[in-house]
Amino acid sequence: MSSQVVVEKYEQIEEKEIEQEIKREFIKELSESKYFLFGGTIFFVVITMAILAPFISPYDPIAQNMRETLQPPSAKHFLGTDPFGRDVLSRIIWGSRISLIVGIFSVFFAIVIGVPLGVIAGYFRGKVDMIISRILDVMLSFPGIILAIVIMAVLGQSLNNVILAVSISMVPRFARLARGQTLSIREKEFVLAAVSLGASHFSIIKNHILPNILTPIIVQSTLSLGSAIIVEASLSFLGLGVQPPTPTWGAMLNLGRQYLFTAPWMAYSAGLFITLTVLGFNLLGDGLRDVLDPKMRRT
Amino acid sequence: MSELLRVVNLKKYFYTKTGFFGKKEVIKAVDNVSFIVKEGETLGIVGESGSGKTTLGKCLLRLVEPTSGEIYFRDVNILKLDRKELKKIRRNMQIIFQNPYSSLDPRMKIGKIIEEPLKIHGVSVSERSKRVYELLDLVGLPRSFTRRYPHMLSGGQRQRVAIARALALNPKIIIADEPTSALDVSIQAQILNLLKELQKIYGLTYIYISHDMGTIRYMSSRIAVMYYGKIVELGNKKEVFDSPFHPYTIELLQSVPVPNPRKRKIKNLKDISYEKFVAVNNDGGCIYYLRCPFANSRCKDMKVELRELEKGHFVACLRAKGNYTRQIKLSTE
Repeated sequence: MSSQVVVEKYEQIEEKEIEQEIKREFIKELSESKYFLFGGTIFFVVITMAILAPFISPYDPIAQNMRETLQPPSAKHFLGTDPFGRDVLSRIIWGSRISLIVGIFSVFFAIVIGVPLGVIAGYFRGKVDMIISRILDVMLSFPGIILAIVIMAVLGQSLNNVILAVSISMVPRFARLARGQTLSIREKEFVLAAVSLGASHFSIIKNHILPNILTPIIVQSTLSLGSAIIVEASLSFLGLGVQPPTPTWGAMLNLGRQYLFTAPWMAYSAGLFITLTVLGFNLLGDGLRDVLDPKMRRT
Repeated sequence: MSELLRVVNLKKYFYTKTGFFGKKEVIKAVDNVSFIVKEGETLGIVGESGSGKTTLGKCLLRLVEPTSGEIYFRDVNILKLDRKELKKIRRNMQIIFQNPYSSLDPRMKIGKIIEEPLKIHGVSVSERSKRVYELLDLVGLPRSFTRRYPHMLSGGQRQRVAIARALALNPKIIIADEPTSALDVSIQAQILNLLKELQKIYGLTYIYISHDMGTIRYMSSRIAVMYYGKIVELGNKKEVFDSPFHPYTIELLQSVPVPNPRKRKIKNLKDISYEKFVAVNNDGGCIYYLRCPFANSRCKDMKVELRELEKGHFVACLRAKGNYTRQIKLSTE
């Protein structure tokens, strides 16, 4: 074995150590961020709740029991019952499924549509940018929830349409973000270097632009998860979301509103879960941003 | 030595508009520049910040689209080529950027960065990794660096990576845009020596762009002095440094700090603001008129072209000739 090989082996070990060190540092920073820990815990609890719904919910969420309507919280019904005698806790647990499904899928579709639009606008600029940006301006001129209501009214009510409506209302924020990031990245010299090497537009976007705008998009998607859940809940609250008897937090809030003085547990528990979940996602996003993007760290 | 690159009347104008009803302004970053580069030589382009050196360098590679003019690489006009043909030509022309902190993609490992040009030009996978190691050896970096990210490297190491990337396709000509200005002085020498060594091995041609007279002197065989988008003097290194014609070149040479304060030359040159400069420039007179200590009324009104005063030594100054230039030199020494 020549000395060169030995040196290289030694360097390889050092290399691995450096990489591990970086990973350790990253995890340490994450675990020190209180935002991330608190948000992450909520995120974990809600996800577990949604996945394990059939096993942990004490009652069937849609089974009516007319002998036990509007029961206050007790040992039998932990969060009480609604006017149809359905267990509120079970409905909350099952309702987390709808919230999460709508949240995750609509954010996913918003990214799939919004990011390419934004990257194309920011990369090619000029007329393409002009057209895409004006369309986004039109979409942004409606408040997200109004846009979602219009879409629901046109398309009719189903889970798929809720996801579609929410994702369309969230496309502009991803497109905007991607466009802004792309505008700044494409001026960097490493992009010019790729151009001078003869790289195609597609390979520049794929190899240089996308990896470099990924971090802010990940952060934005966690933050958007919270607002997607709010939009879904608002649609359900207005009766435009997923239809009864499927349990959704928004619809439960609306039902509880009518009994706010006689049976407040319904509205309170639904409201509390919406608030906590959204808060959790926002804190998770803040925590991620603090660790991933030290420049934006709060002082 | 045969001619490798010929630039004819190259222009790059930037148009800016101030406000909705604002006046349109033209910034002539590169204005009617012509020169040739011979195979194997190093053409140094020197000038102060904002003189259009970098824009000129980027125009040569069409990283910035010139407003007008012609750039011939071995009798092929680069500006007339479409994307496909341009890609072929780009194998022969590469650039090293000023700032190695922004010229390497922070999300790519060094191995991938150096591999990228090979990948783009369709080199097979096995050959690629061989070539990457070869290039790392060439620029004096350990092979294990392929697995590192740019942020794990120092400035000098990064610039070596940038050089390796530029060399990957065996180019004929490399445009080095202030490759050392972001580095420590001790590292600067290493990088410059590396560039010189590579030139010897591969017979490379350089266009070396810098504002630093010291490194220009060290690197170049011929020198072009730029001032506000125009070449004001062009000649062999010895001529430009030892018997400069243009007052601006003299000013530049004087700006080099002298270690001994007693030998420092006192100068009395006027400084001008850019706005004022534009006003004069548009009148069609000499661009250096306002700053020139030797200017007269002819300089203000007459158009000044680059002309050959001695063989291979060009200057754009009405008053520079024969005895008069000697006078300039006497009065500034």
